[in-house]
Amino acid sequence: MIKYIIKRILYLIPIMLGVSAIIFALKTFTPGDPARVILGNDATQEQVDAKREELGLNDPVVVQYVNYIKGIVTKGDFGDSYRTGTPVLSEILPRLKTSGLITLGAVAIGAVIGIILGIISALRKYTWVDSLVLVISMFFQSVPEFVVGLVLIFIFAVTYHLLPSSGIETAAGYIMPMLCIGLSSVASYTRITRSSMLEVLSEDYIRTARAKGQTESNITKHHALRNAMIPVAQSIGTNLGNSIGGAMVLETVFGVPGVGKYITDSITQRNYPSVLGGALIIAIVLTIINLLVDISFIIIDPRLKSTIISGGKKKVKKAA
Amino acid sequence: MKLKRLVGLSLAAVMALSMVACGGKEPEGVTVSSKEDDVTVAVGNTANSDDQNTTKSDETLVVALPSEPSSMAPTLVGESENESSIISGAIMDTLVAQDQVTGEIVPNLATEWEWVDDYRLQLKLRDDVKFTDGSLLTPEDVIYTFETLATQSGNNDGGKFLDSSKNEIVDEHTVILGFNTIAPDMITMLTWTPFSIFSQEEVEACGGYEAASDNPIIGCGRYKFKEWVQGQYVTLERNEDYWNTDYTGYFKEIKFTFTQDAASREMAVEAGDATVAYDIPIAQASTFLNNNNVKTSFYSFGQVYHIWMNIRDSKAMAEVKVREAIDKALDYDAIAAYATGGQAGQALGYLDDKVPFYVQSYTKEERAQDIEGAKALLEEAGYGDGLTIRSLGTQDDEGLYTVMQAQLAQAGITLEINTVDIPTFVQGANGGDYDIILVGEYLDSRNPSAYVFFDQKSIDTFNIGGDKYTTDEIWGAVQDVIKATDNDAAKEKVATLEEIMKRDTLVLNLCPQLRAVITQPDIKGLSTRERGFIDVTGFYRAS
Repeated sequence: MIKYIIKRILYLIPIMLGVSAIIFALKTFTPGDPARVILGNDATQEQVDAKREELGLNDPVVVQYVNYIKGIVTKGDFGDSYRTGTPVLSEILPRLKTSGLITLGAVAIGAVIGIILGIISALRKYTWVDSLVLVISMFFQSVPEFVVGLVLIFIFAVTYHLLPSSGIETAAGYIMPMLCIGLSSVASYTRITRSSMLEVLSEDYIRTARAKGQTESNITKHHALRNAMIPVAQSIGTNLGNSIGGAMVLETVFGVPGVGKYITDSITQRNYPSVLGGALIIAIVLTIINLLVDISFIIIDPRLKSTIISGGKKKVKKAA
Repeated sequence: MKLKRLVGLSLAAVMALSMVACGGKEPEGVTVSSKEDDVTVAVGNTANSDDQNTTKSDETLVVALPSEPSSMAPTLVGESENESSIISGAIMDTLVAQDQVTGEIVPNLATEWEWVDDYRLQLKLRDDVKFTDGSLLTPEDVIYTFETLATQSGNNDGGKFLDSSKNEIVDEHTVILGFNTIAPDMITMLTWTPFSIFSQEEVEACGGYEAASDNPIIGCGRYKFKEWVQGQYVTLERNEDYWNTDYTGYFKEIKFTFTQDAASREMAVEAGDATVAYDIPIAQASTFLNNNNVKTSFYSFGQVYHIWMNIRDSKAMAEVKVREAIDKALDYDAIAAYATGGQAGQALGYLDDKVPFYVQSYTKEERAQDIEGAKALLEEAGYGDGLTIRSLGTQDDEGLYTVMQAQLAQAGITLEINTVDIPTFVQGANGGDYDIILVGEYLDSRNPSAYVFFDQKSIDTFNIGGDKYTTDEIWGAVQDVIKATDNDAAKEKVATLEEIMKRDTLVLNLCPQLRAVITQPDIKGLSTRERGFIDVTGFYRAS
């Protein structure tokens, strides 16, 4: 197991190199001079040249890239923001916490609603209830998140004044972003829960339980649900990554100072160290999340241990 | 049957949701305003005709801005950040100000001033101005400020015209500021926020101007800095020791929040979470005109949309007949209606018509769309089979270019629209990578930087847009405008310059550029500073 975790952590190296190389290439081939961006439109060419020198932009791209990677590895230095002059890492970490909180809340909301709807759907299979659940969950998956966001603001902030329209000064400010992202993932949880429940409900041991006179609610709660939750739990893990992406878009709608808004702003400002640092930190976080999710699979269902760790390969003992 | 019932039920559910979301019920506590309450504010620092506020309240004004400033130092970030100027405009104060109604320069931190010679301006300072740390404003602070501004000249239009070697402290209340260019109207520049006076002691204690910008700025303005929670908000509080005792700030505190999405900013006002939503796109703002829960205000601020034609690099544009053909093919009324959301008409001169030295150089009849005339001119210029030209603009210009594209097509001119992000635009505009370019120019003073497109010294260096072309005649006429001693004299000189521009079709004047602000219905006192930045200190709630 430890060997597997180390191996997965080592995977970070090529991932980081790949992400950083792509963004460095973008930075190189995209028009627009970062020095000009920093100094403003009225700076003289001499001032721009001096700034380029100071930022190391006159060095060959490979040298710039190697220096950047060296800074991260040796000093944890992701560079300084062109806009504010402060280290990118110190700007991103508090924002990462905000985005993480929203993501976790969104996943929790999506999972709870999705699981409940999935169970209802499975227990009322092929009835109008089943179809209605499907329509509702598909509705939230089909409508773009920012549209749902604006509708939520209109309902909860403008019309009923129940929640703040933007910002996260109070805990209430987190509710709408979480709800908005969470609703978009309801459909996937509903479908997984439904199909998993249907599969489990047709198992022999459920039939046995029924034959032994157990009530339907007892069978659902104690026998079916527990086993049906394994694929749902796996889906929650993989959805974490997607939800971080969703949070990035919605942060601009809800005025949330998260890492997504930070990167979006940085892209428009040609603030390369912030874009690069942000992308790398997100890549690291997603890789770690994936690792934790894989480990959690093993804890939830030990049968998966051999599949995940050895990739399904079994050692065949050679005959003596 | 089941499916039909299901579809019926689903539709009913969707309709019910829509009814809840879009219900016309008036929320309690929201005052209704009418479309007539909307105001169009005049140019520059002039503003609405509301009565001046005379009361103080314990309320907080919440201003929703599109983005967070990177610094509280407007000089450091220049004109690229509206937000920095808006916030620091409340904290800091300038030597002179512009009258809200007449547009005249009036005393502020300086009580009187005079030009000692063409290059030196003497100002007498008030003796009762205190910074918010309690220290008194001194001539040393003023000199230090202007020396710093000169070193930061890359970030502001005016800093490059300062000459620190001519600065002088005359006595404990009098200073002389030096300039390197003869331009009497340069005093207007001193009303701009980046020319606010800062405390030398504070800046030196922080280790320099750049370092000071990360810390609470000690100003001598109407409000003082209270708190900046990065990524979330900036809060200011009323400066009870403000030197101008006639001024009464209505709001005890001003809080700035940052939301990029314009619809979200507007909804924050409707929800009561924000008092003012700044910088709503014109087309979007127009849709709120009949919304009784908010007040939508449009204002011009001295900036005019111009189309420049690249005479230096484009063979077709070098031909005056082609430039005239483009002029004739455009429907300026339609362009103005689109760009201003129907709030303003076309520009009949190079300048905004509310500028004191404005001259009308065209009549509407002269500018009527004439497709046949345009075709004839193209024929004469050798482009009878059609002409393809390439535009350069930012992504915000896409709509306006699309309107022009359809109009030009009628005359046989194909417009290839090239809209890019701002850094790419700056690079292309500087390099001359266009046939035509759309630029909004701020021309409310006769500051030399306003005429940079014709500057013989800088035309081949860094210069965003313009024709990339000038002559001794044009540059001479521009010099006369800049050197004119007063607005009446300037008007005559502007007329001469505009005659040349009209004769050679050097520029196409489209329409004034507008800004839109959405406020709660009972909020009054909307006023602006340079470049249309709102002056948040003037807002109050109607009793």
